[in-house]
Amino acid sequence: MLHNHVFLRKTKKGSVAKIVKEHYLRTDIACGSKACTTCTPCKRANLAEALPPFPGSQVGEYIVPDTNVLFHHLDVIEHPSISNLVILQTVLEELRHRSFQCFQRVRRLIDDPDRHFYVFSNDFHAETYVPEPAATASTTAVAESPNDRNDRAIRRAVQWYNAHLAALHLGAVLVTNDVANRQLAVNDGIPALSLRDFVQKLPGSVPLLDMLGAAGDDPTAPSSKDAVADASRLATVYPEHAAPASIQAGIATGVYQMGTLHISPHNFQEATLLADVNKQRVEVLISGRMDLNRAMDGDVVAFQLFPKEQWKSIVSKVQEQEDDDEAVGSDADAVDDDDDDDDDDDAAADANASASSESLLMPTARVVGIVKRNWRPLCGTLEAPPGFKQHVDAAREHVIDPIQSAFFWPIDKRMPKVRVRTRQLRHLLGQRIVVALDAWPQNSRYPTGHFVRVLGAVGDRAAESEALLLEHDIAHAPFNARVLACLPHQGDRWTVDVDTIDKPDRVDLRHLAICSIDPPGCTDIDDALHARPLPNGNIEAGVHIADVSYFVKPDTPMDIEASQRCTSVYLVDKRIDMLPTLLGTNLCSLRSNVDRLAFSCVWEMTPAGEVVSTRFHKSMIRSQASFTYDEAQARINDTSMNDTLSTNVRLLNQLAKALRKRRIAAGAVTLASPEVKFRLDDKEQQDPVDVEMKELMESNQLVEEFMLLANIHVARKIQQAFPDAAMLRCHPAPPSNRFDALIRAVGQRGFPMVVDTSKHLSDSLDAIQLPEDPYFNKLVRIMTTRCMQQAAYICAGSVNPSGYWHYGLATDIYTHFTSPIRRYADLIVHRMLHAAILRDGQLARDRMKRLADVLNVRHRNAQMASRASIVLFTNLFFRNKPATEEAYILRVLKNAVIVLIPKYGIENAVVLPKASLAKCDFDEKDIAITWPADAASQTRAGKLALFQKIKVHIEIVHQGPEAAQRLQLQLTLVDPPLPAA
Amino acid sequence: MVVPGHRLGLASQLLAGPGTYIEHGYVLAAVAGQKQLAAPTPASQGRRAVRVQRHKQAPPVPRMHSVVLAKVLRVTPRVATVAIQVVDGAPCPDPGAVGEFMGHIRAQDVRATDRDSVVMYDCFAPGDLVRCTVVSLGDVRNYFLSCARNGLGVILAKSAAAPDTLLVPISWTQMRCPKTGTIELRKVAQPSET
Amino acid sequence: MRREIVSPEGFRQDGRRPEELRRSHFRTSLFQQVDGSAYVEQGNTQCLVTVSGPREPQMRSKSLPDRAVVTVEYAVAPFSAGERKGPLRTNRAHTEVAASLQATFEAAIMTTLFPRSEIMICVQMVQLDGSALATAINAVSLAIIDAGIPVTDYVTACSAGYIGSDPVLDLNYLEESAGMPQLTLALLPRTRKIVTMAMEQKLHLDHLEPTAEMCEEGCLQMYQQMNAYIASASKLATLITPSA
Repeated sequence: MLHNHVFLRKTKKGSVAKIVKEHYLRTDIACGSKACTTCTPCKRANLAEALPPFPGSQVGEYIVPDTNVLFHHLDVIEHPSISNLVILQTVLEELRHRSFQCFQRVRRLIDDPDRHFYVFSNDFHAETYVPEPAATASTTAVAESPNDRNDRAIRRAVQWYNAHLAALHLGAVLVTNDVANRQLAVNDGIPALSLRDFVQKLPGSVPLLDMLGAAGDDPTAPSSKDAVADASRLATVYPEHAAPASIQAGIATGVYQMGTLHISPHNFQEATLLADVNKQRVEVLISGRMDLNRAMDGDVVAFQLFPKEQWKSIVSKVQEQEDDDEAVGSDADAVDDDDDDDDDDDAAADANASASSESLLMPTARVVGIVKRNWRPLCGTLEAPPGFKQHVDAAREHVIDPIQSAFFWPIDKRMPKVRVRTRQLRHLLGQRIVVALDAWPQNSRYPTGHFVRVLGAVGDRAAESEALLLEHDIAHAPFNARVLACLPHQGDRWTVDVDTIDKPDRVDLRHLAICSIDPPGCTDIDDALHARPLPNGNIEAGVHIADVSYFVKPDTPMDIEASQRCTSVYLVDKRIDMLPTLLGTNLCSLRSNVDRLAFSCVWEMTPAGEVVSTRFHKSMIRSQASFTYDEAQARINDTSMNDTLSTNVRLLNQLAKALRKRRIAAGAVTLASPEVKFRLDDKEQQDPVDVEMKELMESNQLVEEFMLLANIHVARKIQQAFPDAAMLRCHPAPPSNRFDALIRAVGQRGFPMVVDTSKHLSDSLDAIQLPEDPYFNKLVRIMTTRCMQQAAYICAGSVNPSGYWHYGLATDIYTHFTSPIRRYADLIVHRMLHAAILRDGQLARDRMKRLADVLNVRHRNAQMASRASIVLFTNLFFRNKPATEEAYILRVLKNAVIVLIPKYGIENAVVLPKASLAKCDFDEKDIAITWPADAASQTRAGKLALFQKIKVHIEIVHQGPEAAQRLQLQLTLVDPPLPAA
Repeated sequence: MVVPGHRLGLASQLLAGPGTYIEHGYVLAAVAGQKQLAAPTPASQGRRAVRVQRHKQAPPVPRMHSVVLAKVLRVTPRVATVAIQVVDGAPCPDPGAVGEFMGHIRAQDVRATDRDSVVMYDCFAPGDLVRCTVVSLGDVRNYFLSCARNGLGVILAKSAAAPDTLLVPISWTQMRCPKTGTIELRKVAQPSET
Repeated sequence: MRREIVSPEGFRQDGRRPEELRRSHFRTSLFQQVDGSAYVEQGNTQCLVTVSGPREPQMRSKSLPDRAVVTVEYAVAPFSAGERKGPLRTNRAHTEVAASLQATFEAAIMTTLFPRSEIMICVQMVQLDGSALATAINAVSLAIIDAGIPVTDYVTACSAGYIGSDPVLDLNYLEESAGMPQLTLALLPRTRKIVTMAMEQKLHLDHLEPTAEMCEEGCLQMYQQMNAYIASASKLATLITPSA
């Protein structure tokens, strides 16, 4: 079975090293066709037994795509009408090197049994293995490149398939867009097609043809008719990107630096990234189309710092794409370039104006090259090209339209518009569609992309929600069969098995009066509590967390799925679970009056809240009641209720208050968020009918205190047990300069703010009270929150122990333990704690470190998706009812102010009309927009400054050109009135 | 052909010989080689002796009663120090690579009679080749060897008078140089016993 | 990007399935100056072993009155790994390997037959490509048989790792450096008695059994191969030098 075949591979890495790898060739690899009887039986063999032949071929053919087809046209391959693909190992390996994301998508397709994909390990097959070209083959005219070798391997495999399957009246066809490769194949008598030719042979191929984008175009087709494409390709628009080699050299010599670009959400032509300036890590600004040089959000770029004379003021302005909305044509370029220059002049002026205060200057840079693109599919809408007729006469209804170019407007305001060519423009207008980016040529003002699929009509709640999930890269497909197979086979009839009690490490706590306190309608109950007085006067308090780790064992498909989702995502109208519903809302959920498995954390505490002893163990509990916050609050307030549960809750509350006092004394900062909750109407539509602020009650704080206590104690335990691998959550102290603007603004109101420690910050926040405006305190707290760093998961071994500090909670160590149903980090911590108790288990530090990074990204995405969902529903809410509301100014920009509307929790920019702006001054010192009284237009002198209470008008408008179909909340200033134009 | 661990038969039917061992009532091979069965002898109570003959000879190790050939290195009034060259007819490996087995022939072990009046210088000289038996594994360094039998003693000695000339035994205490006729004293092995 | 150790198709990076050993190659009686010698290749791991003895102990103070002393020297050639290492120095890891080889073979060799003598084993790793200890044990085992030193049984060894949810047999260097737990098991194949068990990195107790079982299977396979080799080599030897 083993072919003893050893070959040499030489690679040169720094110093010369000869690497010798074994490579075993085998004869037991199945071809994967169900019809085949000669191959070794293989469980993964999944290619259909019989296939209808394509037009023009005699036998049914399996499709063998090459790497480029998969890499560039994965959307096409993902289309359900394409099946019976043979993915060669060579292709898969190449793909993995090109893009891990693509690789994973292909893997997902392969795992889907209905698609009939099969991976043929051609490199391991004795008959299809193609030797590497000898490295010393200098005698041959041109040495074969690795790519050529791979192409040869692919052709060899197709040839083998055809020979192997001939007896079964089946065949295989190579699909490649590489003309040379096709020619070589044909020379060898191997059937080969371009992707376009192949797709055209499929029934109903029009939408698929569109997906091919420009790359798949027939090169002979006259493209000169394509005015849009031509017009902007007349001249070179952008500076050339530096070659990878010169980038590397530049980075080595320090001329260039490398970083991840973040486009400002307010201005798509302004981006920041972190760089080393004078040996300090600071934010660097890149502004303007030319300096950005085709870099997009999230790209890893190489950049070059400008000399200090060109540094700019940090005060930016709101610039959305409509400012830049030129007619789609060549002559607009010149105009627009002028605009850019104007911007620069402005900036230069700013720089001069504020030259006195150096701290306000921000280093600037320009992009010289793109190291790694962060291109993802974009959601958005198409803009009808000028003169396009939506309706055609009935006679032409069934004729396929010619290819047309149109601009695609992404929902994400940070992204530029994209040029898309499609045959079905008629059908796509007014729809939310997904577009994949193809390229951004140097001579094209905008990137080009191709249509992928339709999500639904613009404004449709389902379509918009889907777009939102896609935009934030949140997996929301139903759980697949392999994941569901990991659930207990009894389904919802699963009960606590006596066997699990018998395990020495599980304690039976069913006799305790345990209850849970959650928001109303909560179905995934993670936590439950109990308290009881002990004979020695102390109190025993316990936190019981759902024992998810009992159900989700490491490295099972369910665990892998959960580790990819990382967290449940809460949208306004739905929840995307991390775990299948059966677990989340039933078997793990600590519902009342059923036996459930839990992980318990039990303390003995003095009545003053001092912890005497702690113990952790797995347990089984029987919650006696599931209270809502209101119900629990009622029991706290009503001292006449004397049943066990009520006294229990009061006991807990007493402890929680003591704990809270200690925490505040230690310097925990109470932060605030302007979150609101939508009340949806009960009808199918689920449109929002009302908005309410989230209310905080004592019972909320009760639960919060105990969860914090549990998290802190668990963190300590796992850190001791696994000082290298423990998963912790840290919150670094914010850099003090972040507070500068806020301190200045609050100072103007007469309040000092000390931010050197969290204790001082907390105290100064408490002192900020305006009797006439009770909201002021909350406003400052919200803004303080904005200055904070993001809390993050870390692996204990990767950080110095002093870095474990959690600034906001003022504790030396913290982790997430209490919500394993909806957070993967908690599940990991559960496993760690269990391992720590049993003193066994394996934890690899590297793995934890990688996991922490993934968790942080997913967590942020989930948060952003939730926020976007709220924005979406806010828009739906105001769609038909404009309103005028009070708002507070949070930030003053050059041409706009960012305001917060407390009632709806909306934070948005109020862009001031250009005409009015001309009469306003920007006060650099106070950071305010002021204007003098003007008798002619009868306007009073006015000022827009931080914290100022103003009135704004809220309405929903279509942002940008009509076709962009971006529903946008527009705020206009009502009071104070601006000077008229 | 058997290899180590190979089961040769029941211990109740076989006598375990060299290259074999007994475990759990079975005789097993301990080395790789040819299995050889001997005919049953009356003393073996009907059991056949089995041995495994290696295709390659194992390095000989002197044991009690082994007959060894040794070269005399030093002679003192009380003891002759020798290096063992051949054990039971098997040559020892190249001494350079492995080191030598050293032996002592003490004065009292030179002959069976009149042991108290042995003069070592009249029995051995450096360079002689001596046949002896191992009487004891001796101390840490040396095997104790004995020549106290007729067949044991010097079997090869060179003449002191004429170089490269072998002495010829003439009695059990004397040897003569065939060239010069000088008589030298030795404890001579009886030649007939080989 | 990290490569997978075992692809979903069930192949490792070098084309083996998880339960397959690498190709192995044996030679014995390479040198005349020593009593026994063997050269073993398992994949690209190559090991050369010489055995001298039983003989007079070189350090007489070390000899034991009731049995032979087994001494092991373990050395790794400077050119054996990807990067050339400096001149040989005593290395703590090497000392540990030597110690475990010594313990392994003291259990297998019938040392009581040779009181006060020494059996010297010199192990030279010529090339390293994973599973060095297992290869060394197999090579020593062959060299001892070649030397004709009585042993109760062969000692065969094999390594296995544990990745994902399944064990993988006979790790090569790439797989070893992926940082998975690695178990090396040496056993007497006839009785399946384990004489050595070495573990790198932590492995959960639940996973030890399947890993050890796979190792055991590997050891038995290795036994078959070694046995076949010894049989053929001995036959050849008897042909060349008819038994005296």
